[in-house]
Amino acid sequence: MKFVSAYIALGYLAFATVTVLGLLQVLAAWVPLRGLAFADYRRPAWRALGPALIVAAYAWFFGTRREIISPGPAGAELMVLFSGAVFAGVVLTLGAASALRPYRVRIGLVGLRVKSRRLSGAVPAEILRMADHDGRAPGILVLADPALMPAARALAAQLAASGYVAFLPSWPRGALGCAAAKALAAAALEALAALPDVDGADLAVVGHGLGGDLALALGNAVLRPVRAVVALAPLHMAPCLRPGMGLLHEMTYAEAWAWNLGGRRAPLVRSLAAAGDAAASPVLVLLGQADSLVPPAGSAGLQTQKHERRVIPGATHITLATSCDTLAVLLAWLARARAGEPQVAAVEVRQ
Amino acid sequence: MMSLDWQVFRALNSLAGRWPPFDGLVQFLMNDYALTTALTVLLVALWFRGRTAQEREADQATVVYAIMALLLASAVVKGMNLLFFRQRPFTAHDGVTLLFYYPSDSSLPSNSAIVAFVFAASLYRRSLPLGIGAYALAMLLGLARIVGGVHYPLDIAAGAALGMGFVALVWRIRPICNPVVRAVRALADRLLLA
Repeated sequence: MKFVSAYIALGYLAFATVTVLGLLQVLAAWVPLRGLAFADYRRPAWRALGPALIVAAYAWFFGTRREIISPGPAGAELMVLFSGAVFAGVVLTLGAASALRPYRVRIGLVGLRVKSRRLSGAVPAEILRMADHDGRAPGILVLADPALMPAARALAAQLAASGYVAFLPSWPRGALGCAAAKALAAAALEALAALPDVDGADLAVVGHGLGGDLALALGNAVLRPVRAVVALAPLHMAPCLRPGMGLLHEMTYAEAWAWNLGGRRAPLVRSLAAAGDAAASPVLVLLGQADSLVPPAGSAGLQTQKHERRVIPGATHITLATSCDTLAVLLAWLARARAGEPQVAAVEVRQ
Repeated sequence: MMSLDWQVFRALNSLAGRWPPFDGLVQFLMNDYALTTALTVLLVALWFRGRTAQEREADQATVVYAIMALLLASAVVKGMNLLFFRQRPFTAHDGVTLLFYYPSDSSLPSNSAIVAFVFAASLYRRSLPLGIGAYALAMLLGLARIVGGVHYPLDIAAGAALGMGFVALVWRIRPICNPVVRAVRALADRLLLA
């Protein structure tokens, strides 16, 4: 390897790295790949970031290095330098996009008159209820996806602000098996029913992602009657449980690693789907129109349970749990189900 | 053939050295970095652009085939250059306007054209817009290197033919190449990048 000129070689490495950074931002905005995005590319002004990085890299390198027409690295040396630039560009992009994510997307309880309390012990959980809550209220068990707790917490807060007492159990590491997960959910439902301000005869279960699979799998595992079950993007309906880079359509690289659960997710989803009993309660399945993990068009049908299915426009896998449209559909459907109104069975309703 | 090659070279090279801004543009297009980097970046885009698992599988296989075609072409050209050496136009003739440094390797075939056309032909197989864009860049690179005085037209044509030919060859022997594709994608999959 003869790089000839360290000045040109290092300059080229920096130029190519920034060009790759710019390219990945173009792709993040265009594909879109949220896991690569430095900014919220739904805002048109930010879409200029990628092209601007590329133009700046070219302008800097070719504007400052007149030596480009003298001997420098070529052939194999250029290939090595460019490979290094791709590696650096991809690593920097994945790291920066993960680090910037909290500044781009804020999920919280801002503006909601909700108070929360943490429970430790057998079922570590969070209880959310209206701040001025008085008397007994319907209880709702919110089963989160272990990697997407903030989204489920936002959903629980919205449900609490709508008059429910929401019970959000955490997934302990040991609960990543089918039987343990079902036992956790059953115990959480018992704990919810035992709360003094909860009407133990008026309970519902809602789950998101893997939590949705768990909600559907509960069936007869719970001793108490449940008036309604809602699954948001249950993963057994996904065409592929190892989406690889497809995860970057939805989440950052750090979140994607956490989502993978060390390779235990796919077996758990399969075992939950296989172990699910037909629930006596009415079931609603909500899917996000823009969900790339459980796309409405490519998702497999529920095989064991009659259900109502709705597609929420514009919702991705994560925003499905935080979307206002989801909440509106969910609350209206829960009100009907809890009132005992006959539900439409085995139909698909697309909005 | 060689006479025609020289006449076309003379006609194109006569454009150089007349107007400094034009020379600057030719130097920008003909150097080893600008267009080669743009073409390589398009190949990186192909790796990431797929919206579905099926699209990504086909796109990423194309990227691996392109790298294999490039390595194969480079090895063959190295061997060819041991047997055959063509002098650069500025060495063989007087009065050539050179806008570049003095490359010392064989003029035929053009290594730059091989790289550019391997990438262009590979991109064209998966995406018409990317392919057309890449072919345009490859042809600009070839043309600029003739105007700049470092290659004859035949060198560029031979490089283009070899580049496209090796891509066609690799696609023809895909069953032999597929274990490499699977190994690369399996590694990328472990990193959640496939």
